[in-house]
Formats: sequence, structure tokens, C-alpha cells
Amino acid sequence: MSGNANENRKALSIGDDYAARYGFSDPEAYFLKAKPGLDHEVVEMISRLKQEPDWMRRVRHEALDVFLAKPMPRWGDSALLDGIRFDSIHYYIRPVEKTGRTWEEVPEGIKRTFDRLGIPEAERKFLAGVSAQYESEVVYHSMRESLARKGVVFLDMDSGLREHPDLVRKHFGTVIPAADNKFAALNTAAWSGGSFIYVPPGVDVGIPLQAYFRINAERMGQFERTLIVADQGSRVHYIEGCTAPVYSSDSLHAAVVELVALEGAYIRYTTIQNWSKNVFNLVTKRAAAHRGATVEWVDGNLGSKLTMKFPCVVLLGEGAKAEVLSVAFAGRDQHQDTGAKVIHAAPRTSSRITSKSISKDGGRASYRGLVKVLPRAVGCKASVECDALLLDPASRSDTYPTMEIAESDVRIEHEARVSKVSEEQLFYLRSRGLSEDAARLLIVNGFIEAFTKELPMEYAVELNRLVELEMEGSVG
Amino acid sequence: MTIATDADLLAAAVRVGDVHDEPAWLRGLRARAAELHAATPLPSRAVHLWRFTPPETFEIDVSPLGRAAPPAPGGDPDWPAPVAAAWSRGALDGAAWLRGPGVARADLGPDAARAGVVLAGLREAAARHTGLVQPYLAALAGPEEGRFEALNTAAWEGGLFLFVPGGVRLAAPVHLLREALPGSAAAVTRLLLVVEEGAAVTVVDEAFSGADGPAVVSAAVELVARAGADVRVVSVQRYGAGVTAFESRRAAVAADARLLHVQASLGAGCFKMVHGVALAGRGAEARFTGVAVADAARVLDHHTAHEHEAPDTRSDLHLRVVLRDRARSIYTGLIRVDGGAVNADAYQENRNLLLDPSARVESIPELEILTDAVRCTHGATMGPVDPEQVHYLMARGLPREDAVRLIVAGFVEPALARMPEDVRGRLREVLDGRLGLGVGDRTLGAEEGGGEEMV
Repeated sequence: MSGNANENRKALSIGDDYAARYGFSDPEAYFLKAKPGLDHEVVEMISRLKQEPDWMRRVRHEALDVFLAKPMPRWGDSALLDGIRFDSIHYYIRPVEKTGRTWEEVPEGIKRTFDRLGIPEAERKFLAGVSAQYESEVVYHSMRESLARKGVVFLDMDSGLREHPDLVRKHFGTVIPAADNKFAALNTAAWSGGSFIYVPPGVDVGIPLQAYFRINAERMGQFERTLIVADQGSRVHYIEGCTAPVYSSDSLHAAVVELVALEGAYIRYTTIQNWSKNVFNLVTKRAAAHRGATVEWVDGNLGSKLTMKFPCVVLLGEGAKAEVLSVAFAGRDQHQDTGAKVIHAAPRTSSRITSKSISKDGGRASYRGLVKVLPRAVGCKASVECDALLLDPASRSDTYPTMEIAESDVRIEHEARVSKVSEEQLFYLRSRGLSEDAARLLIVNGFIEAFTKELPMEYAVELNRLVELEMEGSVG
Repeated sequence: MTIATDADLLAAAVRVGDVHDEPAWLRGLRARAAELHAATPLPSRAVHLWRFTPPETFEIDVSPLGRAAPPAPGGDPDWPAPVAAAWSRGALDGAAWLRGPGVARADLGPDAARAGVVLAGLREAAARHTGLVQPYLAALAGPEEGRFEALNTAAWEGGLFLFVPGGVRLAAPVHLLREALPGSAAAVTRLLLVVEEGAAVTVVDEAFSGADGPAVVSAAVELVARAGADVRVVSVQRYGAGVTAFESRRAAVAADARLLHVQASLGAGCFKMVHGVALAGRGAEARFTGVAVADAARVLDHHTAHEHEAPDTRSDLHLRVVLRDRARSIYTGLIRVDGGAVNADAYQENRNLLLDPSARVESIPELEILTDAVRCTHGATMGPVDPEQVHYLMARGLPREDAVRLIVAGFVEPALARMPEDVRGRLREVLDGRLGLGVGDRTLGAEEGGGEEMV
């Protein structure tokens, strides 16, 4: 049927592949590029360049010592992790002298990059504020006037530290201390850029705030640091997207994201990670949810060589809620080691984790999760549901959930399923005239629908296109 | 307590070989295992299997091993009353009693003996049936498996061997008693069960301690189920509270063979079991259905690993755990489906009932799936006795205690329902006694003459 043939061509033609859409790179014309490797000298340089207060300088140096002292994790994909060449990475690259406030101020080359990625367009259409980070620094930043008048702060992290030093100092590193893990220590020592958001009590930031992260240089380390504080009864939705060019040598992205949801606050944090397949994506994300607060992580992982990311919510106050919804797509030479962690530290807290993974062309998707209930956290409810879809015999799916329960008055449920695209489903769709490619795509889209429907429409469309791209030529 | 140094272990291995005048190949195996032990560190707590119970807990003082003279030949001791009663009813095809380091007694029924079944001490079998023992001994739970298996292979003192020839289908169970003797030599014991092509057998494997007191037990159980074999193992662990026990159970299930493992973990102060099954041949099937009950700060740590190595293999696991009074349960389970194991079907379920807030439970059910043509599902739940159910039953006139007892019985019932009927009835009675909620000292009572033998 011609209509389906058309569909099919469309599905195939979308894929000039990642290289054409996101994988391009610009010539490196940087204001400043640190020597490769990380030592106290580089840390000192970063801190001086940023003219930071002394306490932050000390935090960085102490964190560097922790990073150097901590061994590499011995769990997870050690074979891949051990391939990181810490000494060859550039830990700091400053592309421009200062952050642009209007789009015109952004240097032409970088502007072209974000134009190609569709950032200003997205901003005009539906965002309340946007931040664009290129290498180590935020190059463009804007926010709607109306929000600024309500006292909402949306800045890059460096400006946040300059303009709101007390707020930053009060919360920085409280949810994720430097010693939490090796990569959190690395980030704390070398952080640059990222977002700082403060939402005053009772303020509802109706439309999403967005940040876009771009690595351009080869062997670059990007260590953005994001801190979101939602004061009592406020609401905010933050979205981040990430891409990088395709190089033959690997880059490292080790972000730290801390969320503080004070009493009754609501934070949703949406990520669409689409790094190129030479990026190590080792991210620590954790939220503290106080009494009656709700934190939601919506996390989509398509790119990178190895992602290790387990968004966490610590339910600190009575009645707090956590929801983690994630999708991972592991293609050739990719390991998506993702999952979620919830610590129930207060009574009557509840959590729900829904994880979907798809493995294809020998890719490996792992769910690694933790549900922990501390003593006296009575009346807690937690449910975990993991679904894995394997698209061919060469691919792999793992499920590593951990449940540690130290209280009897709780309800904990965990379920996981691993399956392939069923022949019956395929047969049914093909009998309705769909090509095998189109049928598989439809099944995969249906499989992750619970996730896509939580995204703003533009993102849902983008995600579907990315999945189409990944699914291309999946038959055969 | 003195922990074995590597030199201690080698010396113990040599001593055991000398004192029992063992064949050279067996001494060689012991020496090799002692060497591997020296080269194998204690398990790392970074791996899930060892995350919750410290490995040092199971380190054994090997200095008393090989000190006892071989038992003087004498009259057989009387069977414990329940076993004796079963014999007299003709309800057993065999029974063997491992008491501390020595075999107290091993008897076969007339049918089994005629059919060529072998039931003997492992050491005696190694000498007399070398061809049946040597190829299998330490092949599954051998020194390569880890430090504890290496120690066991080097220094086991007491052991039992069961061999069921091809095509022989035993109608009645073979009952194995493994008795730890607290206060005496460390108990390092080993079972080897070989079931040949198309043979069928039910083995009751009952581990207990004859007296109160502290003891550290290391046990290794190897089971070879050849093609088309049909094996049921009913494993009952009811050690006293002073016992710390590590048990490594490994099974290889060949093409079209079936293994049903029934686990009842009822005793010990600290018990860790590793239950590894290799589904090695096309069409192999392994089912595991277990009940664990603990109170009084006891720790029960179960690890299962089902390796689907061949196409069309099936595994199915249900473990139900009831805890109260500071008791702790750890369950870690792995289903692994290898690349070539197409059409594997695996299920794993761990449910936990916490009767009071001082109980703790950890559950890590894991899946590693390396091919797409599979169906794998697992689930885990933890929760208290549902107050609504209690209320409902109390509204119908039941005292609270009876209501809770009924709900707990209902909780373990699905695991019991998967057991063979004969086992189910006996185990239900035992559990009634325990769940009634003194997981106390009412025992299966082989040695107590309480008329409570298994099966």
C-alpha cells in the first residue's frame, strides 16, 4: 500500500542519523581552554576565573582530594568505566567572555549551533525561560519578565552564586555532598555552569523552564551543577536537553543536580538525554522532599556510550511523594545503566517508579534501583514496575532492584518483565497492511507511551522522532 | 574464634586424608582446594550476594578437623523414632544419618538395593565406587566456586553419597539426616547426589543440631540430574539458635530433566544458603518453592541463581518469608538467560510478611537476559498483616491471635500449594506449630520421637 510505503520511507529518511542532526561540530575558537587533566592548579584557576567566594574555592579543593582518593566504583560496567582517561580530558573550556542576555549577543558560531538544535524557536513557542550551556559556560540566558517580577530566580549557577550567595551557600552540597561518590566529588571540584532556580513561596511557574547542554570540543568534560529550591507551596517544571558531536575520542559528562522541595512544593524535572555515543554520562541527581512535597523525575536516556544515572528522592517529611518515570533506549555499543532510588525517611510517604527499557543491536539496558524504608517510617507505600523490551537476540536486559525494608507497616511492590516484540502483535499489525518496520515502531512507541504522554508536546514529538531514528532498519 | 590460616587449612586437609586413609586422588583434590582457598579472598561485600551478611560470619576454625579417630566398627545406632516408624511402614526407600563428622548409619530398602541404588558415606563411596564419585565430586560446588566451597572441598569430614541408576524410579523417599554436634568439631560436610538418565527419586535432606550450643557449619550439596531424570529435594533446615551455617547447593539439570526443590528454612541463628541451578540441557526444568520463618533476631539469607544455558528451559521460584521479633531476611536472586537459551521461561517471586516493626527484610531479585526470545518475570512484595483482614476475622468472632495465625497461614499457603502433596501435609503441620507463632523449638523431631518425621 502506497500510504504505508510512504510511512516507511519517512521513517527511514528521518535518519540522516545522529551525525547530521546533532553530531556536527564547530571549529574550536575558545576564549579559554584549560590544559587536560585535573589537579589543584586547574581547580584554583576555575575558581579564580569565576571570582568565587573563598568558601566555594575551599569546597572545590576539598572535593578534588575526595575525587582523587576515591576508587572507581567496582559495581556496574567496570569494563567501560575503566576506559575513562581522566588525564586526557579538558575540565574547563570557556567559549565566550560573558553570558548573552539577548540572542544577538551570542557569538555567531554558537548561535548557529543552537539554531540548528532549535533552541530559540522552542523558547519563543512555549518556554518561560531558557538557558543554553556550551562546554563549561552558559552562553545564553533569558527569562520571562512576569516571572522575574514574582521573584522567581532562574540563573546559570555561576550567576546564582554571585547574585544569591546566601541561598546557594545554604543549599549547595546539602542534598549531594561531595563525598557521595567519585563523580559527585569530581563535579564539586570542577563544576561550571548549570542552572540555579529559586521559586518563592506559593508561586506557580506555570510553563516550563528549560536548559540546553551542548558539548562541542573533543575530550571535553562537562560538569554542570544544578540546584533548584522550590519554597513552600510553590510549583516548577524544569526541562533539560543534551547533545554532543560525534568524535572518535570520548567526552565525559558528570553533572550534579540537587533539588530541594520545601513543605508542600512541587518539582518536576524532565531530561531528554541524547548525547552522542562517545560520551560517558555519569550523573548524580537527588531530591529532598519535605512534608507534603512532591518530586517527579521524568528521565529519557537515548544517547551516550555509558550512562549511569539513578535519580533519587529522599522523602524527608510526612506525606511527601516521589515519582520516577524513565525510558532508556540502548542501541549498538551502548549501555544504559539507569534506574531510580527512593528513601522513605518519614511516615506515610509514597513513591512510584516506572521504568521502561528497550535494547537493540546488541545494546544493554540495565535497571538498577533501590527502595529503602527506614525504621518508624510507618504507612509508606512504594511500587516499582520495570518493563524491558528486547528487539533482537544480541541485545541484553538486566534488572537489579534492591529493597531494604526496616519497618513492617508498609506496602512495597516490585514487578519486572522482560519480553520481546511478540509475533502475534507483529502479525496483527502486518495483517492490517503495515510494513514490519512500521509495525515495530508502532509497538515500541506504544511501549513507551506512558512516558511520552508526560512530556510537553514539543518534546513528545521530538522523542518520537528520536525513537524512529534509533529504530531505523531494525528489521534484518 | 580462631580463623583458619591457609597453612591451617592445608594441614587440616592432609590430616583428614591421613586419619581416614583416603585414596590419593581424593587427597589431591583436597590439596588443590586448599591451594585455591589461599588464592581466593573472602567475598566482597560490594557484590549483592554478600551485601547484607558479613562473609566473616561463616569463617570456620579448621583446627579440630581430622583429629577424631575413625569410628570403631560397632553396632548401628537405632534410627530416630520417626525414621524408624517410616521404615516399619515401608514408607522409605533409604535413610542415612550423618552425625558430626561420621556416618552413623545408612540403610537401603530391598527394592532400592536390588535396583543398584547406592547410599553410603561419601568417603566410603569414594573408595568403593570411585567411578561413580570421582567424576562428580566437587564438579559443581568445588573450590572454583568461592572461598567457602574451597574450604569445604579441602576439609570436609562427613559426607553422604546417593546414586540412582538409569531408569530406576524409587517410589518412596530417601531420607538424609545431617546432624550438627554443637560443642564438638566444626561441621564441614558434603552431599553428592547423582541421578542417572530417566531415574526418579525424592530426597528429604534434613539438617538439624542435636543439642543446644554454638556451632559453625559448612555444608556443600551437589546434585547431578542426568537427561530425563526427575528429582525432588525437600530441604528442611531446623538448626538450633546457636548454629551459624553456610550451605552451598549446586545442581546441574540436563536435557528434559526436572528438579523440584522444596525449601523450609526454620532455624539457625544465622543461615545463608546459596542455591545455584544450571539448566544445562534443552527442555530442563527447575522449580523452587520455599517457606522461611524467623523470629528472635535470627538471620535467614537465601541466594538463588538460575542459569538458563540451553533452549526451552524453564525455571520457577517462589519464596515466602514470615518475620517477627528482630528477625531479618535477605533474599537475593538471579535469573540469567544466556545468549543461546531461546524460549527460556523464568519466573521469580519473593513475598515477605512482617509481623512487627522490629523485623527487617532485604530483597534483590535480579534479571540478566542476553537473548530476546524469552519470557521472564519477577516480583517482590513486603508488607504487614493487613489490619482490615484482621478486623474482618475478628468481627466474625475470632480472637486476634487466631485471626493473625490464619492470615499468616494463608500467606504461606501458595508456596505450600506448589509442593508435592505428601510433603505439603507434613510441612503444613510443622508450620502450624511454628507460625502459631512461637517459631520456637517445636521441631520436625526426628531425634525427639515426637512422631513428626518429614514426609
